[in-house]
Amino acid sequence: MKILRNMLDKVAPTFHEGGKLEKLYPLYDAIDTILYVPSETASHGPYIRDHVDVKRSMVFVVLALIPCLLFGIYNVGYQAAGAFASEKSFINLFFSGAFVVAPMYAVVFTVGGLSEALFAILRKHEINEGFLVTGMLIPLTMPPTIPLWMLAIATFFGIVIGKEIFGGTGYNIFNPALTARAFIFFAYPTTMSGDKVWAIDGLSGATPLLKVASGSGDNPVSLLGHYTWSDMFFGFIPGSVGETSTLFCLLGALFLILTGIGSWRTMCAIMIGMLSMTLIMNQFGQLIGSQNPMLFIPPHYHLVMGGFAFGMVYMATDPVSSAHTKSGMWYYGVLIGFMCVLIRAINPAYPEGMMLAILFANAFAPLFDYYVLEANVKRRKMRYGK
Amino acid sequence: MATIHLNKGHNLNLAGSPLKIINSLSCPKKIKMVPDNFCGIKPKMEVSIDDQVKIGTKIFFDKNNPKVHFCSPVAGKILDVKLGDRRKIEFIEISCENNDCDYVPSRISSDNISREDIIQKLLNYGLWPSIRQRPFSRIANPEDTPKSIFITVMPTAPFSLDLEYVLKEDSSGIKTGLSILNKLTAGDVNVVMERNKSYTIFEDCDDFVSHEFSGPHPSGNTGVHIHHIDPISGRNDIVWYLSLQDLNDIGKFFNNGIYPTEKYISAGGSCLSEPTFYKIKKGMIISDILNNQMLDDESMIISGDVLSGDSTTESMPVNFYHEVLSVIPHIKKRDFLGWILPGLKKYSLSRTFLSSLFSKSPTHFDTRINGSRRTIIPFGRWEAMLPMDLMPDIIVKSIIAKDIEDMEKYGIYECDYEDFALCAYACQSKVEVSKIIKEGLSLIEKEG
Repeated sequence: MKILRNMLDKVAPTFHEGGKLEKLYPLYDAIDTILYVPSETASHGPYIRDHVDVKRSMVFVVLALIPCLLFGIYNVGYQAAGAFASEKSFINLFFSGAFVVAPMYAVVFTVGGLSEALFAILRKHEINEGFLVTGMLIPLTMPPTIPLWMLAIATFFGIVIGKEIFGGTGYNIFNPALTARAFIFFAYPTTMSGDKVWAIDGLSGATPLLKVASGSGDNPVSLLGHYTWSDMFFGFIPGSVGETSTLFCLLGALFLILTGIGSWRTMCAIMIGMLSMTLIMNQFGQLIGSQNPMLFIPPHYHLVMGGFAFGMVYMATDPVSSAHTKSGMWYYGVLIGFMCVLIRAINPAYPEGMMLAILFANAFAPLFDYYVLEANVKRRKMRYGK
Repeated sequence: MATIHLNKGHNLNLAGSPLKIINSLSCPKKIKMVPDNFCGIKPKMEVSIDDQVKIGTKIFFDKNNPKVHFCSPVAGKILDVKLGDRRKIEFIEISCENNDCDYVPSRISSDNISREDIIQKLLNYGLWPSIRQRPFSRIANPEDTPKSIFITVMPTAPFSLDLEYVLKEDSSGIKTGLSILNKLTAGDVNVVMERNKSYTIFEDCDDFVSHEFSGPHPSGNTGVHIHHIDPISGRNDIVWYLSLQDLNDIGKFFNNGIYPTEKYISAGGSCLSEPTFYKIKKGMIISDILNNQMLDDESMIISGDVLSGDSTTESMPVNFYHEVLSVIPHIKKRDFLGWILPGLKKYSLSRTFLSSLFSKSPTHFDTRINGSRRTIIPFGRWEAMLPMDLMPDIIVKSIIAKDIEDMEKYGIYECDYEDFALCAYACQSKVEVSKIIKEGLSLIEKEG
């Protein structure tokens, strides 16, 4: 390890101020600090600092995503094999999935890494670890059939418009990975039209959500065909790469909550929002005698269908684009749960509501924070008067 | 009387906690007075080099407030007045030769004395600087009448003194001190004690309102107490505060006319071989205090606690207001792949290190910031460290934006540097929260 350190120290002057490659300092800094924790000491109180840093926080989100990713890879292979899945071995299915997913990651990390580095150099800020999470998330939210060039454009859009033009990680309004997802959704309606968005055509057909949405009647469960609740809970259904397995999403949630990285408040609030809105929708459907099956989906089916669990655990909890205050997080989460079910049930154009629900709540998060702050100001004023 | 339990904050379990033994040090050969200890003053010398001074002789005064004098705690000769850039006084060195007093020690009755007389006495005999005010943590202005006065008896910062223990045999001034302070304020004299702890030092005192607090650091900070008991609404809403030792000294001075020359401090940190409590001469330089202890180049000496103190050198004294001296390792080693290793020995509040599951032993902290500086990412770690009804991130952002209106609106006057130190400790983006608060306060003091 000494040799590595010496090598880095030897090239360091080239990248520091006055050096030949001074402009590329963010690149050097990224590599240097990935390998070694910086040696900077506190020049000002407090003279001791916690061992956690942004790198570690972000890496823990990535760790929480790995079960979803691994299962996602397997499921892509499983869905692609279709009726022949039972004849193939686990390894075989996993590798056939990896052949689809690995190029997606190659594209996302190349394009995303380059645009992040480009902006770091132009704007003279550090390469932020937030990109690791965004890069990890983008392929997981995409259907495996997406053309790679489209993925490249989406990644660039997500990183640049979703984050960099606001000033980089910490300043963005919307979740960059969801911005990338939304871009694909709105920019390529012909290939990714509303009702096919979450479907993997050519692989094995419609997602459960799509099946329900395209049917009619008041018994959505019967429209699911051979998909059972446990199929959807464990994730053996077609869908975007990482979103299908609710089980692994919930395991990730547990990990995020235990390590204190993800907000349990946001996740609980989304569940509450979803539950209450589902009950309202169920009642409303009965009341008007609707034949729209989306109105009658029971809450535990909402949980396992589409990207609900994935969005709840990994997308909505992004600390930057979510509400920043604790009570704000409750309102923010409830709004996401509400909107997701509302969009799923009422919107005729497409069945998945989680992406837009989160983006919508991202836009409202500062408003919730504003009211929480105003309440704080008011509360303190009352105390002064005492 | 209020009983308040606070959940937010954290008690750091640092290696090198001082033993409960009082080490009384003999009088040193010389002491130093440092005008910089008193924030915001403009010192002007009243004596010059080679002058003979006695205990209680006025050494310098504040040009902003010429009534406030700073007096010598020793009798001897002015050895040096060290000037820095732009002729700023860095320190005044005084030799310790005898115990002569500048005046005849005599009892001053505290029963019938008027408020003006008390203030006059405190100013004249150099006891005034120990009384400070919030907002801004400056020396109190004798023209003001505070709405209340706060004394904390429960410091919670790392390596703090156990005030009940050190003052047990030496608390003769507390009763008089409290009745003197009662005459200075229109409101209450609030004494904040630890919940469920019995105090013998207040046994026959009744001139105060006692409050009980419990919870992790910073629940023992005056700023936190003021916030919960008598919050500050603006720059003219003034609260005074002083330490229990200074209160005791004021009382003793009125009891028998003895000018306070000594104080108790605690010395802790993993660099010290024998961390204990000390009784020292005021202004005693650190190398004299730690004279029999191992100190190498790779240690940082901090006057005050590790969270809110100031780094200093062996040749300087402990800050006038500090009661803690901390010495911790100062190394620049770089850890390999620190962001992913399990970290059995790395202490963290974040639960991302295995140490949070297994390690309960005291931690050896050093001065490294353990990460790269990043933009503010609201993981909620600041809020978890601040037991006050304030929004730390919005205050910090308004300070960075220099938005005075917002700073006032979100409660900057209730803030103090030391209360936010744990926020800076816990921040994963290594944002200098407490330094920003300090800058915000000095900005608003000038322009608000």
